[in-house]
Amino acid sequence: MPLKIGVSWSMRSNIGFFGSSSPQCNTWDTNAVLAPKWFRFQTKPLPKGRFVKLAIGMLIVVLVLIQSGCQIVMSASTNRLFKDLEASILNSDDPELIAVGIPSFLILLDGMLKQNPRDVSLLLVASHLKSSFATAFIEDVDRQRLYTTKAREHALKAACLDNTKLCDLDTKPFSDAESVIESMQHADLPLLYELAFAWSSWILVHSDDLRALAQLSTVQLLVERMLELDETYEYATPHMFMGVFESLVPVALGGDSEKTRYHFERAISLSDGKNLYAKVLFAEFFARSTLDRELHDRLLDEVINADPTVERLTLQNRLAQQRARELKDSADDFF
Amino acid sequence: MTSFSAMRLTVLLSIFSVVVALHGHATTFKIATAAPDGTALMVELQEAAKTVETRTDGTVKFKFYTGGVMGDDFTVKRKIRARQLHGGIVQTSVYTNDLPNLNLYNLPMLFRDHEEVAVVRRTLDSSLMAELEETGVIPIGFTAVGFAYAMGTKRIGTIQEIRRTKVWTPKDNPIADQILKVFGITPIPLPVGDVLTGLQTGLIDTIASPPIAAIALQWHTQVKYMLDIPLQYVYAIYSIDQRMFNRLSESHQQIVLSEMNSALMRAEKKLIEDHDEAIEIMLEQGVELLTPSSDALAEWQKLSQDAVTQWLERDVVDRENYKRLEDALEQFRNEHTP
Repeated sequence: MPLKIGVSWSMRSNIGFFGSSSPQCNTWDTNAVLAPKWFRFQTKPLPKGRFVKLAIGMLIVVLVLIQSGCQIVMSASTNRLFKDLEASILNSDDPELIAVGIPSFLILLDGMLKQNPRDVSLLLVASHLKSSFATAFIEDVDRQRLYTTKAREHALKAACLDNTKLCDLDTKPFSDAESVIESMQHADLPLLYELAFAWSSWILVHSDDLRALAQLSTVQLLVERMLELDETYEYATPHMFMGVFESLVPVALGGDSEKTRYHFERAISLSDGKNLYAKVLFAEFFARSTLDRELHDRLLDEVINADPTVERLTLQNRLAQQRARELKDSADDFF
Repeated sequence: MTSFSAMRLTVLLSIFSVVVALHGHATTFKIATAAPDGTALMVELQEAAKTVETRTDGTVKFKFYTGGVMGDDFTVKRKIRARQLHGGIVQTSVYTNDLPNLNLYNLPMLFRDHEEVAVVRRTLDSSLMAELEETGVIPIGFTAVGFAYAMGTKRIGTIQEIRRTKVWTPKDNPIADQILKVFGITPIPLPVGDVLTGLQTGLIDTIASPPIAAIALQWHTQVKYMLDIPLQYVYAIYSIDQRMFNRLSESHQQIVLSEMNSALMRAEKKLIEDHDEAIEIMLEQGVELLTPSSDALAEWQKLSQDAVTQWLERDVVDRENYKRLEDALEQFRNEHTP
């Protein structure tokens, strides 16, 4: 039975991975199998050592969930079933289950994209899922690069189709990109979000590539514009992005650790502390770079000891706890 | 237990603890740098650290503090002296007050390309490293950052055009100050961290930077013009504390030196590739490369030579070493000029 993508672009602005927003995914027909057995969830931590790599990695794990959730809203018979299924994923405490579900979606999406290569919604869904899959669940760097490259291409193509001003955003002189991004409005937030996500994921896994690094400022512009338009968007995700971006420049070379602190603290307060990943990032990208062991351990202990069960945040919080344990285990070596 | 037995036991325990200290405990070198984690240099050094640890059965370890978490390069030097750190990868200006010969490679417009650098370094590196060693450090090696080019927001094809702009110089860098003065430029000193904002706000118009650094620090986003003259070779020094190093067995010392040195060489190779690519990227992003006319180039060369002459007269660099450098360059150019 042919598939019809279930997320209309106009509705994607409601998509949020922190739980309060209520995705309104359309129905689509499918016989898809959610979790192929050939895919094995990899539980090892992401490879370290690249300039931007870890910087954005933690953000990405979080973002797997919402896309997975929306894709699953697919039943031909009842919307109720889809909503239950989506909720069960976002509320799942089993990351492994989610990991094995993604490849089947990727295959489906590629097939659908062949038939609808100019479908903005479809391009953005594929972009998001490929970025998430690559950076959260794949360890092989070559495969990560392959998927994030495709994801970035999808996002840039979608942006261009949605708004011709955004065409060639990656090759425009910086000042031109700046004025285009400055002209984006509130309705463009979902597009900015997906573009920033795919682009930063691509930079993340190409962190030893100057060509990728050279585009970091443009991605930062996207996030800064999101902050201007709505700092609370997706449970203050723009602040989480900015916290990581600010932490990338060493203080000795012009970085500002207080700005880093501000963005992480803002992300935590705007999400009422329910978003455990904000604390994990705070520990990793602020406490570690300022050698603040006390703050580091306190944040991670809070995450580990927190109840991860938060409506539509449970799976994300479970992943945050997993990462928090890894960071605690390596703390003695680091400090 | 008799007091004699107790004494014997104490002595035995002491000997045991010394043996454990010598052979059972790992020596960890704490190395600091402003270079961010994930750069080619740090990736290579961290790989080398793993190899050293394996080859020394876990008894020699390296821990890198990247991204300036231990402070700027001068602070790192102080911390090494205070034994809070055991090494660093720092800019040459940290050492040039004590060791002016380290300025030799920094002379303006000295090299045309990386090939010339390689020839000269094969000739002179060992004597510069020997000078460093006399200051109480073990020099692992030098690592290039690239050639600095003039670039900025305003057209800077000639020295006259540059003089009309607001030129940045790194704060507390007397060598850069001296060169710029010979060029008739009155620079604006700013910390490195203020350059991006300075370019954005118009506080400064012109900088000199290796293209890789310009991209890493996102300065390239503000740059519109770049002058196609490699003005100065920029490099850093990787050294470790001599006292700490001397604690290692001779075989472990050799392992450390060979692995770390190989890592520097691998990083340098990647850097040379990246240097050319960085220029390409900047041009692709709309930066205009200004090729100087022959007259303009001749003027740059004359001013650079004036700077060198002044340095020699003031003994800022050693004449004998400069002669060796000059001879090596001349021989190479004679052999390679068609």
